[in-house]
Amino acid sequence: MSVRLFGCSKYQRLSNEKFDRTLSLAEREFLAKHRSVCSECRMRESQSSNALNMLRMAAFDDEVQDSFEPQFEERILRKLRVQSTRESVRYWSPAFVGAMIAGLAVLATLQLVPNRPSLPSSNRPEGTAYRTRGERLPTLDINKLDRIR
Amino acid sequence: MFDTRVFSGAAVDQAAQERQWVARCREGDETALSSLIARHRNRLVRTATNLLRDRHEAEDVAQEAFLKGFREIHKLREDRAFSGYLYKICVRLCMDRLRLKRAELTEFDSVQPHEGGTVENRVVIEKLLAQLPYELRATLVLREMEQLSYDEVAEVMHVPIGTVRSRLHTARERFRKLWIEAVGE
Ligand SMILES: [Zn+2]
Repeated sequence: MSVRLFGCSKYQRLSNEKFDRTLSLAEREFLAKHRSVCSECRMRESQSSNALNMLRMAAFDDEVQDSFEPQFEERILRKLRVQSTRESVRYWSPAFVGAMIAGLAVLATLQLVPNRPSLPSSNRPEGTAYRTRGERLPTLDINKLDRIR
Repeated sequence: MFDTRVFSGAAVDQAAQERQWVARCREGDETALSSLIARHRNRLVRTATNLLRDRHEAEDVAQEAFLKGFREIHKLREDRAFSGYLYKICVRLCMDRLRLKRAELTEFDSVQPHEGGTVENRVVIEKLLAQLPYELRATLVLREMEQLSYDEVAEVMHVPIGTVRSRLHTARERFRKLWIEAVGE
């Protein structure tokens, strides 16, 4: 049966702190004295120590070495290349857009300049029959011819 | 560990070499990038595996850390070590993942783990860690598995040292209780 004694809280605090700092002589003496009389703290301390030991033992050490997926490095480099390409496109694209707009403006300006009237639009002599390409000739419908007869 | 401004012996050469690599990285030298990856990948994957308990996810996070580290390499001060800068990025990415993961509720049979960091032990530990809130879990792993000092844990987790101390105290106590439930000690 475990009995909770005066000083258990202090014991627990110090037994936690002993993992992280060097305790003073007085603190170490307190721990030793309390440990000898308090079974509950003794048990708790041993459980804590076992649990933390198992935790430390479950750490992955340098065994991860040499078992990397083969493209580990290549994947990083590829992503960085893609990113730097994107960035350069983003950097240059305003210049390209500017050049495109300027080019379109020049073209539009050229289109707006009126044709000189002295230049004939075609070399067709006057009076020649002329038909536009889209115009269709009337088609001969045989059924209609029969009806007329 | 994070701020390696004072070097000794071979570490001086390593640090000087690393600064050269970093400078060349800033100019887009891929050979220097590869050298930095080769030097730091083991540690990053190991830390991420300890935090996330998943090797594949750890490799993903390590790659992500390298990418972020290289993209933001201009932010790294000349007198700071690349290793510490990269390590912090990696731990923060792991913490983001842990935060997003819903704590898995795991049913326990009473198990007696084997000695020596066996697979069985790792499975038990993984289940126990999964039940801790991510801040406690990360603090415990960084301190107990990664063996960082309180200062280093505070720096990497962006919290005051007093917070590290109290989180660690709580984490150890909760871990002990979970351990008792699991192994029926
Ligand atoms: Zn006691």
